Parts: sequence; structure tokens; C-alpha cells
Amino acid sequence: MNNEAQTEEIPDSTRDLDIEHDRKLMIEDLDLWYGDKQALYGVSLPIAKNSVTALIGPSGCGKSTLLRMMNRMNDLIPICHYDGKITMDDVEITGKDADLVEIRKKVGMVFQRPNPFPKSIYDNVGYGVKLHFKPTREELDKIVEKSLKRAAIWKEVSDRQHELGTALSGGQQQRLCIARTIAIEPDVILMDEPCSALDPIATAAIEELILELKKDFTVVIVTHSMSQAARVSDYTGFMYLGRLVEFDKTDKIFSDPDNELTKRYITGRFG
Amino acid sequence: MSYFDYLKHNRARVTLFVMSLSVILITLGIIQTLLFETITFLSEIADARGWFTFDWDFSGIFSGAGAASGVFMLAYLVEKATTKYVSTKETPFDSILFPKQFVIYLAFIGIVIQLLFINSLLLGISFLFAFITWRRLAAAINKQRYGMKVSESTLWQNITLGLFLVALAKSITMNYGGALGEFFLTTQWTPTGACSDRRALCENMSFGVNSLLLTTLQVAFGALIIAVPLGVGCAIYLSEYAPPRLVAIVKPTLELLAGIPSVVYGFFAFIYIGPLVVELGEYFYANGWIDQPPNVLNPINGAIVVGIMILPLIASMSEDALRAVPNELREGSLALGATKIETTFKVMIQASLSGIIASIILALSRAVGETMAVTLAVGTVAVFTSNMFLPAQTMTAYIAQRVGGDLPFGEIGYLTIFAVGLYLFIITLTLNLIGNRVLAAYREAY
Amino acid sequence: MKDIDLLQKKNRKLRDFAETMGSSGLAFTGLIGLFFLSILVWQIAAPTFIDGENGEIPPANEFITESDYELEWDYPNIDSSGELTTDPIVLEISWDDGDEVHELQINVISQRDVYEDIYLNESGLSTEIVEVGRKTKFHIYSTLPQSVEVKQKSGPVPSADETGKPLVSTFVIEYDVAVLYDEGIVFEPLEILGYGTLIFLVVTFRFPKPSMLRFIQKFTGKERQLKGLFYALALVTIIAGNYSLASILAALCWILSATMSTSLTKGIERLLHSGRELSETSRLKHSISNRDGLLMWSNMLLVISTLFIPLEIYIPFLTERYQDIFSPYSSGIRAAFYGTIWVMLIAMISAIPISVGAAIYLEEYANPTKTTKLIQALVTNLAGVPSIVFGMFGLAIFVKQGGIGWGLGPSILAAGLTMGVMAMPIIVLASQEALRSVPRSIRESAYGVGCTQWQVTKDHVLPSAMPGIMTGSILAMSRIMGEAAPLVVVGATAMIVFDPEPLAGLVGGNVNFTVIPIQIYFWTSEPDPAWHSMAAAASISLIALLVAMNSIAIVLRQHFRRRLN
Repeated sequence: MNNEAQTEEIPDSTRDLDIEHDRKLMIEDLDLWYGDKQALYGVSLPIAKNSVTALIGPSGCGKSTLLRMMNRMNDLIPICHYDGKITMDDVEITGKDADLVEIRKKVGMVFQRPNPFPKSIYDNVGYGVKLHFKPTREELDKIVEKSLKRAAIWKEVSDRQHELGTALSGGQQQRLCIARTIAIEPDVILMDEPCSALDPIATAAIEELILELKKDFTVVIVTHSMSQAARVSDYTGFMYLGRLVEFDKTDKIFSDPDNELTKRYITGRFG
Repeated sequence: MSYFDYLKHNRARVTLFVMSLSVILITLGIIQTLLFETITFLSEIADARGWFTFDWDFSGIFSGAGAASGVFMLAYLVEKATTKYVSTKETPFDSILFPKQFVIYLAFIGIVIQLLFINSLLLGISFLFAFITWRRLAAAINKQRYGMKVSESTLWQNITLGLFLVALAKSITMNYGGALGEFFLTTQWTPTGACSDRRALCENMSFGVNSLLLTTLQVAFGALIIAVPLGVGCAIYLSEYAPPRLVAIVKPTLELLAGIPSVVYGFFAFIYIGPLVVELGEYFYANGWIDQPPNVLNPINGAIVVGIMILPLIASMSEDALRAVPNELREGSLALGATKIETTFKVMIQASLSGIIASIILALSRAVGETMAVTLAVGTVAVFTSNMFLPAQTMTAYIAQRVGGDLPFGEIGYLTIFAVGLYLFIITLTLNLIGNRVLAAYREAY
Repeated sequence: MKDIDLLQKKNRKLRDFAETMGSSGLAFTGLIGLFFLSILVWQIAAPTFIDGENGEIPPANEFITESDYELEWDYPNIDSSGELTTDPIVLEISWDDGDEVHELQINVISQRDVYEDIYLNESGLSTEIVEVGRKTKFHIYSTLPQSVEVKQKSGPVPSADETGKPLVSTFVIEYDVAVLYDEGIVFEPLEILGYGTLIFLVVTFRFPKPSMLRFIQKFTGKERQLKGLFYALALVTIIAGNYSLASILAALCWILSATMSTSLTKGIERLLHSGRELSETSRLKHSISNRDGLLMWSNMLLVISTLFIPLEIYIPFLTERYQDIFSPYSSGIRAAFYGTIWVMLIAMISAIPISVGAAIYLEEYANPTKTTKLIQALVTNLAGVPSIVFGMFGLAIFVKQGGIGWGLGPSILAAGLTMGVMAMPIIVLASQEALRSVPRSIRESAYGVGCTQWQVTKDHVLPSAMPGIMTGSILAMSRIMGEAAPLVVVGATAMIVFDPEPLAGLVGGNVNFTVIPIQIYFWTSEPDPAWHSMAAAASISLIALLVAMNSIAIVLRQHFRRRLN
């Protein structure tokens, strides 16, 4: 397959990216390489405050890479290097001397597979808090309870907070990971296909939770499921082969996309 | 289908099965030879001392160990009985089970203090166990009254039962009344006494394996003290921090270190580490911390060299354990804003702990069984002393040294090496069983 | 303001400090392996070379005027009843290739501390008869610039034979004390050329450069002549090398070079034929037939040659000299070297077939019954049993006579079998690992075309697992090669001055043997530091052999891994 020829056909969404909300994050002209292979081509994207932004696209189109860029998780991959700028509240976070610890404290992340630490539920949630603060026992108790309640898992685990977090079911584990993330009250929560390893009931619970979370946080979600994007998100970006093809309000994208590629992808006539 | 037909149709299967049976044969052979000669050895001691074989002395029942066995038994029975038949109603025992908080603290402090003053350690520990059983029972009964489920812990019962058996055995053999008692409980190891007939057993000989065991443990645990921090640190560095190019150099180096024969390490200890340790010992001696001048051959020397030997083993096994931890855990912690070192120590080590522990146990087993390096580094004088700058002898070194001269089969020296060998075999086999069990459980977890 | 910001914050500087300190501390522990290895290598290498040059026994040449030589007769001059043997010891001392011959008579008397030193110079001995007390040292001092040969003609000597008659032995006063290398490299030029050609071809195969190819291209069309030339060279090499091992290996190099060069020229021809340029070197590997196989064989040949370099470059320490209790620096480990090779061979023959069979049964055939679970558990745990316990097993089963003992005596055969038993669990585990790594799909597709279980195992699973099994076996062998503990128990002795007889345990003969680790052990236990230098030299030889064996394993593994992928 000849990648070069195909990527040339994709138009860049160069038009002004207007959003109604305040901007929380702004990605400007981001190029990214894994070794010699370029994974992102000049992506620009605004992330609206207190809203849900969904990134959709076929596998390997770079949406997870883009997401991981927002809290600099890509720095863990030695062969990865990038060019471009991401700002959060008009402060650049992609600089060489940016404080990764502070960035990741402000931008939390939930992963594809639930990854609770092999600690008790209580310690899982308190872990992040204890990293950054020196809470007293009572304060920590309060934070853990609040976070578990906000993650809608409190009812299930309130009487067994000191059991292993890994002993929970998949959906509960994922909600525990969300509780862990919101315990340190980040500004932004990134979700990398949070429901791909879960059954429909657990997925529904997580989706409900996302809608709940958007009141306090800015949520960016990567998903394979277009119906999920339509259900939970306010804005949607469609990516293809490392480029952002189209970005707009979710209603617009799903009803009347500007781009032919987007239309074909959404209607399932892709390939 | 007759057996003949079965054989004919499954020729390959049967042949291969017979081949694999050889493993059982070897194990049986090892156990049989060791056990057979050991029993001969013990009965010979018993004969020479004018005892019956396994002469039991029940007077020990009335000693501290005897009392301890009683307390352990009681704790075991109470725990076992109560977890089965619990009445949810209030009973007369409630005032004992749920006293005021300060009474509990007082009892706890008293029990901790008595550990210092009661002569028999076992008895002290038994009181501690009784206390813990008391509190566990109270908690369990409390839970049941509030309608919660009580998880039964057979592990605790097993430990109590095991300690009961230890205390019982100790109380029975208290007065060293038997060949077993002499072998396991005395500390004097002089298997070649000045007798008229060098080969027979006489009064001047004594067979207390503890002097060999003490040195073995000194060397093995000393080795662990050196190898565990370095080995685990090395493993963490290689799996979490090191750039791939450095890993490509360090890993083969560790493999090379692991492949160097132990006798070469022994030579290294003899010419290089020994003199260094002597310098340290001279300093100690000058300050009066030890009462005899140091020798080139000593357990510290052995501990250092065995530590270097097991370091690659711990490093590579721990690294495997760390690499087996899914990457998501690492990313999950970093995404919360943890620094790398916080991730390593608060998440990665906890996640791979059982793998690391398995590697340490297996390395301990290797250290206990190590022979040539220890023989060359520690010396050949069986003494029971805490001064680690003097020559001593480990169990393996005794076997190697004793067998080095021509040993006629069946004489007492020949029998002693099998008794020591059996003890060594049991220790290492136990360690291996535990280590491999832990490792298998860890592999299943990931 | 969020609720969480009300909490007291942790000190960021402290956290950063912990990060730096922790990572550098871990880096330090990570480098500790390298550190220990360098100390170890230095400490082992140092005595061989440094003490060798200005050793305890100064060379008797024109720069250093005297060299002394100790003679010791501790036990041999006491007979079985403990009485002193009064037979005089007669030494024949000669130099200048036998032009100067002198006899020295030594009378041993029962008093101690009576001695007289003897001086050698151009004019002869300072005295012809000397009286020496029992267990007393005396010295022979030499001021001659060349080596002096000392030969015992009569009298009790350390190695008396069974009848008590002395064996006449030869001692040499050495003036060259470099231990490991003696006369330098003794390659024939043709042999070096053979190796060079092969290495050149291997390099051309691996990393083809247009200039090299252009050079080889000249031979296109003359393959037959080239082949003939190489074969002729092989023949000449063997004859000129007097049928020695080195010459045979070199001849193999020539023959392999012939095959490789023809396939290379044909490959180039094919490359040009398909319309490509010589500069397109990356295409070349597809146009050479059997490229991987040829490379594997040449690598094997080169590694094996490296393994036999001791024989080729003539290290008398390893292959010529026996232990000489009187002069450490002229000792060698010939007996131990051959002992090691025999023990390894017997261990290999006895252990590998049975272990591989057991591994196949456990991995391919066994149902999870109690028996097989027991066998599996035993294998896993036997691999961790201390080696000395295996030695005791060998002592009771193979060495001892009577009962369940086979009565082989402390012989090579008993030692080899003991080592085989020790290697077994290791080989079984490695083979199981190799068999397990064969993908299920291979088995399933073989069953799919109607193979029986044995056919599947033999034709499909075993070939794929073979490299793993071979690697595991070689590594197990290299591990037992360094083991001394079991052999100490089985009864290896240090003082051996003859080549071991592998079957002596069965058919009778001298059963005594020694191996390199045992030699190191006993030499380290000697008080004289000169022996420590020899132990260091033996250690280096042992490590070199181990490294050579491991590199064979690595070559094999890499070749087969590439083929599997």
C-alpha cells in the first residue's frame, strides 16, 4: 500500500477552529515522529473547557498518540520526538524545561485497559494525593470517599475499601481508575478508549459518568465507537493517517460533515 | 487391549515415559543414599554412647519449651474450635474477650517485655501467640455479631500448630537425650577426636551440626545482605532507567559473571577479598571489638564472595519479574504526576514483590549450597563463635574437606558427610520448593 | 480554588532531589556487575603475567646471577613401617644439551636441619655428595645462563610405583616463567591464509561492498579452476601441517572457502543477469543460494577453531605439561585438560538423550496425572539442589562397591555419570522451554494432514525446538564444566602425571583423574604463592574454554532463530 499517495488526498482542516466554550488546551501545528516514521502531520486542535471532546478515526491514525501528547506520556518512548506547540491556559506545556510532574497533575489520564495498582482500593485512590500533598488521615479519608462517590463506585466498595483493587470486576476497575485520576482534581481528564475492554453495561455506566464529570473537568476521549462519540461528546475530531481531517461540533460532524472522507467514515462506507 | 498391544502402538510414548522416570529414580537415589547412611550414622552414635537409638526423654515436658508447647496447643485448639462454633449471643466469656482498651494495651506491653526476661524464647513467643489469638477471636466474634462474614485463616492455625510441634520436639529432646538431640542441638563439631582407633567412634568425638549450620547461615545471610540491595537495585536500574545500549552491555556481563565457575570465585576470594577483610579485622582488633586477630580465611570473606556470586542470579531474576509487570501500571502512576523514582518504589516494586522474593529465596538456596568458593574462603575449622573474622567451616565445606582425604566406606567420617548432606539437602529443597511455588504463583498473576 | 489545594503541599524540591539521588544510586548498583568483573579479571590475570615476569624463582640468565631450586622429599623416604629409607638419592645434573653431565648424591639422615647448599657454575658442582636431614630443605643455586636439567637416577622419589621402586623423573630448572604463552604462535602461513580467505568471504557475505564484489567478479567463469585451486591448497595444508588438528581445521576452511566463493560468483552472475547493478548490495543476499547455511557452517568452523586455538598456538601449559610438584612454574594442566574433556563427553552422552526424551514426554505426551506432576516438580527442584549433594549421590551409587554401588571407583566414568545426573534437570528444563516455544500452529497443521503424535514430534516439533535444546545442552555442559564440588566428593585427585584413561573404572587400569577446577582448587590451597599464579593461569584457561563454548551456543541460537522467523 502506498501511504504517500493516499495522504496527499486528505485535506487539512485549515479553517479557523472556532468553539463556543473557553479554550482549555490548544494544540498548534503538531508533528510527531516515532523514529523515522511520522505519526502526526501538523495537527491543530482546540479543546473546550468543561466539555467533552471526542477523537475518532480508524486504528493507527494517531488519535491515541495525540491524546498521550496532551500530558506528555509520549516522552516515555525513547524514539519519539515532536515539533509543535501545546498550550494549556495559554501556558506552553511542550517545552523542554516544562515540569512534567505539574503537567501530569493537571492533566490526568485513564487508560484503555483498567490498570489499578496492586494495592487496596483506598490506597489506589489515595496514591496520587499522597504523592503531591501531605494529607492527614481524616483529610485523606474525605478525599477518597468524595472521589469514589464522584466516580459512582462508592456504593459498591464503601464497605471493602481495604481489599485489593485488582479484585474488582473490569467495569469497577475502570471506575476505580477514574476515581484515582479525579482524586487529585486535575483540570483535564484524558480517556484512551476507556470502554474498549468492558461489556455494554459497564460501558453505559462509564458513559453516564463522563457526562457527569464534564461539569467539573475538561474531558478528552478517544473512542472507536462512533455511537459513543455521538452520545457523550460536545465536539468531535476525525483523524485519518496522522492528520486531523475535520473538527467541529458533534451534531454537525454526525449530521452534515464538510469532508467527504468524514462522511464515508461515519456512514460506514470506508475503505 | 493387552499391555503388549498398548506397548506396540505407543512405543514412543512408553519409551519417553521410561526416560522421564529416570528423574524419579535420581531423586529416590539421592534421598535413599543420604537417608540410609544418616540412619546408620545416628544409630552408630547411639550405640557408642550407650543409648538406644532415638532415646526420648520426657522430663523436658516440664521445662519452658514444654510449657510453650502447652500454650501453643491451647491457642490452636481455641482458635480452631471457636471459628467453627460461634454463638452470636452474649456469653460469660465476653468480659474476657472484650475488656477495656487500656487492659489490652497493658497486656500487650507485658507480653512484649516478658520476651526480654523469660529464659525460654519459645515460651515468650507462645505468650505472644496467645495474645494475638485472643484479639483475633474477639475481632471475629465481634464481626459475626454484626452479621459480617468471617474469613477463616488456616495459615495462622498452621503456624501455631507448627510452632507447637517445634516446642514439643524441643521439650522432648531437651536434655539431648538421644542421637538426634546431639546432632541437632549441640554446638560442638569434632568428628575426628583423638581416639585409639581413628576410624571408630569414641568419647572425644562430638557431632553438633549447629557449629557448621551457624557458619553456613552467617555466609548465606551475609551474602544476601550484600547481594539483595545491589542485585535488586541493578534489576530496577536495568528495567526502569538504563538506556538500551547500556543494558546490552550490562546484561551479558551479568550472564558472564553468573557463568564463572565457583572455584574461580574461591580463588578470587582467597587472594583478593581475604586480605582486604583482614585489614578490616585488624582495625576491629586494634579497637578491641574482637578478641582475636583476624585470619585470611573467615566467614565475612565467604559472605562477600558468595554475595558476588549470587548477585547476577538475583539481578536477572528480579529484572525478569519487573519486566513482567504490565507497562500500564507504570504509565498509570506516571500519569498521576509521580516522579520515576516514586513510581518505581511505590508501584513497580509492590507489583513485582513476589517475583523478587522468589529470586531472593532461590539465591539463598544457592548460597547455602555453594561449596568450592566457601571452602577456599571460609576455612576448615568447625567452630561455634560469633567472631566472624576467624576461620570456620560451613556444611558444604565440611563435606568437601572431609571427603578430600581418602575416606574408607562405612567409617564414621564417611557417615558424617551423609548426615550433613541430608540436612543440607532438606534445607535447600525446602527453600527451592517455597521459591518455585512463589515464582509459579507470580507467573500466573501476570 | 479547588478543595484539594487547601491541603499542605509536599516539597517539590525534596521530591526532585529524591529522584536524582535515587536514579544515580540505582545507576551505581547497575554498574556494580561491570565493576566486580573488572576486578575479578584483573585479579586473576595479574598473577599470571606479572608474577610470571618477576616471579619467585628468578631466571638464571646473565642479568640475574642466581636462581635457586628446592628439592623436597617429605614422605617418600619413609617406608611403610615408618622407618627412614637410607637409600641415597642420586641426581644427574646436566646442561649444554648433555655436554656437561654431573652426578649429585644426596644421603638423607634421620637428624633434622642438616643441609648444605650446592652451587652450579661453569666448572661444575660445588660438591658431589651432600648430607641432608629428613624434612629439611636445601637449595641448588645456579649461575648458569641456560636451563639446567635435573634427573633423578635412583633413590626414593615422590612418585614411587607399586613395588616401591622409584620412578625416574625429570626436573628442569626453568628460566622462562611466563606461564600461559611459551613459544608464541606456531601457525603455518598457509593455515593463516586459509582462515583469512574464509573470514574475507564471510565478511563479503555479511556486508557486501561493491569494491569487494568487483574483485570477486573477476573469477566469474573460472569457478572450476578456483575450486580446484582451493582443494589443492587444502591438501597441501594438511600435508605441510603434518596432519595436525590445526592443519585439518585450516583445510576445512579452504574447502568451505571453495564452496562459498563459487556460490558468491554465481550469486553475482545471477544479480547482474536480473538487470541490477553491483552497487545494489542489499539485493545480493537474495541471489546467493543457501546463504544462511554457508554462513552458519563458516561461523561454526571459526568458533571451533577458536576453541582449539590452545592446541594450534601451542600452549604447553594446557596441552603438554603435567603437574610438577617441585617447580610450579614448569607445571601444566595437561592431565586436567584431558580429564575435563573426557568427563564432559561422558556426561553429555549419558545425559542429553535421556533428558531430551524426558522433556519431550513431559511437554508433548504427558497428561496432567499425579506422576507427571511429580516428575515436573522434581525436575524443577532438582535443578536447585546443591552440586555437592549430587557428588554424594555419585559417591554412593557409582563409586562405592557393594550394596547399590556400581563400584566404578573414583574414575572418569563415575565422574562423568555424576556430572550427567547433575546436568539432567538443567537440560530437561531448557528443552521444555524450547519445546514450549514452538508455536501451536505447527503442531495443529501437522495433525491436520494426518500425522501420528510421534511423527508430529519427530518431524515438526523437534526440528523447530532443536536450537533451543542444543543451546540449553551446551549451556548446561558449560556449567558442569566449571563444577568442582561433586568431583571432589567423587574422588578426583590433584597430582596426576599421566593422561586419564576414560574406561579404567570398567576394564581396570589407573582410575585416578583430575579436572581443571579441581586443579585450581588444590593449587589455591597450596601455601606457596607460585602455585597461586598457576591457579590463576588455570582459571584463565577454564574461563576461556567456557566463553568459547558459550559462543558456539550463541552462534547456533542466532542462526536458527533467523531461520524460524
